[in-house]
Amino acid sequence: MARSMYLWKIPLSRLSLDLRLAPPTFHPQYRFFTQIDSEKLFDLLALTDLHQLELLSLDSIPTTPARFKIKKLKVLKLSGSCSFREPVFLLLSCC
Amino acid sequence: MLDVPVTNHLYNFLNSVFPRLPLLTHLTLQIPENATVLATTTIAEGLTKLVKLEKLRLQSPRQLTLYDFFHRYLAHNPVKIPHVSFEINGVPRVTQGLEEGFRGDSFRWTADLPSSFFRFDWSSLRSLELRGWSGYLPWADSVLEGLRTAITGTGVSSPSLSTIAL
Repeated sequence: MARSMYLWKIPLSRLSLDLRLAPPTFHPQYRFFTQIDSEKLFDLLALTDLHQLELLSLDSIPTTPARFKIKKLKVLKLSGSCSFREPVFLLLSCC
Repeated sequence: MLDVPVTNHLYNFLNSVFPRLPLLTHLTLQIPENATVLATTTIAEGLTKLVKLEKLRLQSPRQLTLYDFFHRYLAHNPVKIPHVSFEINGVPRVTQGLEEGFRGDSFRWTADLPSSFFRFDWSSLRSLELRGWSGYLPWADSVLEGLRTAITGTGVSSPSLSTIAL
């Protein structure tokens, strides 16, 4: 369901994160980012004026929401142990 | 630039030096684990005399010692808060600074910090770096809830009307 609501602008222009996704029961004490968390994060980042996004320690390319777009993004840095070739091609072809 | 240890027997001597260095811009303090409350409180207050301080590096074997010290310093309302880095055994764990009125913060997670420490002020953050444990990021709730509240909740600046899927 889509509805209109007021959004506040935040000054965030650069975000750099480790984003190796953990299984939900990964640690009994700490809430590490899971696949679902990363999708929620991307939903929120799409509402920002982020210019630079760095996702590090990736062991897979995280799933992004349908029609995901950060309008003002100029720099996207991805690094980690996964093979980026095909996933990044797919990611870019969706933009 | 000054790089000095905070010792329990010479802290008063160090404190007496601060007023003589009004133009000091870079300071590194090594704070031992056994530093007394009297020593750290005195030095934390004395630091406020360094009104031109731009960069403050705090080094210790224990993270909580550094935060404790820094909060004592902030409690004395320094005129200008310098860019600060907290280093454990030579490794920067947290850096915080202001540039053009906005914050640029960097956090490297360790288990010895209370989760309450990691509250991100999205209304003033321009740049944020988060490093987790072996690539796993532990701040899932504070990042998501804080960001959602900043964008859709409490007032920060003039809101704009948008349509979002809920």
